[in-house]
Amino acid sequence: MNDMSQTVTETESVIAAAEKRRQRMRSVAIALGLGFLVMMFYAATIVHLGANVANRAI
Amino acid sequence: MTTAGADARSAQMLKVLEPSVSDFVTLMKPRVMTLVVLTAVAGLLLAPGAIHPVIGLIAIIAISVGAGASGALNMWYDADIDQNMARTAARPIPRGRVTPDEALQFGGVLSVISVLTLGVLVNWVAGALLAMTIIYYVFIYTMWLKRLTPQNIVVGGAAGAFPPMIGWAAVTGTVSVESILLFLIIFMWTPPHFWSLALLRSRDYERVGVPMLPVVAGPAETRKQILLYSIVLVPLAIVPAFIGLGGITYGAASVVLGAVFLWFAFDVWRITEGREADKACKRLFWFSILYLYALFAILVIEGAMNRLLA
Repeated sequence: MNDMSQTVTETESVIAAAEKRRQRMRSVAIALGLGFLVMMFYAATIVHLGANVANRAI
Repeated sequence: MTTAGADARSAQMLKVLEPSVSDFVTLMKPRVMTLVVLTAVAGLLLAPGAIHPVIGLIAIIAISVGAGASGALNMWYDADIDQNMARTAARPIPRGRVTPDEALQFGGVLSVISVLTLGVLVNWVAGALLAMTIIYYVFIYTMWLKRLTPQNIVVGGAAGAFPPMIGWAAVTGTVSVESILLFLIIFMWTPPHFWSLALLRSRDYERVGVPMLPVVAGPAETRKQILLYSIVLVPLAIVPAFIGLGGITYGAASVVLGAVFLWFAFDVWRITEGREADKACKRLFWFSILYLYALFAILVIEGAMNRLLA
């Protein structure tokens, strides 16, 4: 009985570790996606503004 | 059984079930995405007017991500039938690599981001067309008509035909006759392409209860419909050469490849029994892919040359 509960606990910890890895992978993917999106918006803004980027009141 | 052994086995099992980047790429139906990119680029290059290369690139990225997102949502909804079909059983959800919830979130988030990006950074006509394409493919085709009518492929084909219109709208901000013609070519191409495959896989579709034309109306009617759609498709695909969308190379290719397409479609209609009939279906299926890729690749090359030389 003791052995069995130990197996269950260890399996649970393996599942928790796997879930953690999955979450970490998801976070990295979201970070990369957001980074790419920011770069895309930055590039498009520069293109849309063109030479007017420098033409502003200081 | 030792606890260490059980532990190692469960760890190994969970490792197998962990999704990789390639699983999410597969979820986006990369082969369909390549066709989306090609046809959207064609629409973008053939449209009159100028577009900055960076904005053009962003438009193509947004269109292809939107198409991929709708593919992921399609796989999420169809997971129950995918696991029972040989062609789709290895997809990430039936294999347990990606959970249905993950696929839904992935597809949903990318759909919203792609539409907003296209709308904000390019223009809202293109953004609205992309939103319409995703809604049409996911709700009207996947959730509603795919399992309801044998004309499902005809209906679904429209979703795959929108990308050149979106590419065109990215440049002009409008929908024109020329872009509708590009739409119609893909729309008329889809039924012969898919039905030639469905003739070979009709048992699979029958088992999962999808009313594909060969299952509902029988192989003879499907063969007739393939030929009829091909007879409409081939002349339609030649029209761009006459209205200035395609050049001489496109004109010649559309005639020659169209003649081969018709010949293969005629074979599918004529040969109805045995291994030769299966061979005819396979031949048309593979040739139809080459046909569409070749025509749009020529349009892209001619469009790029015209822009470079202008």
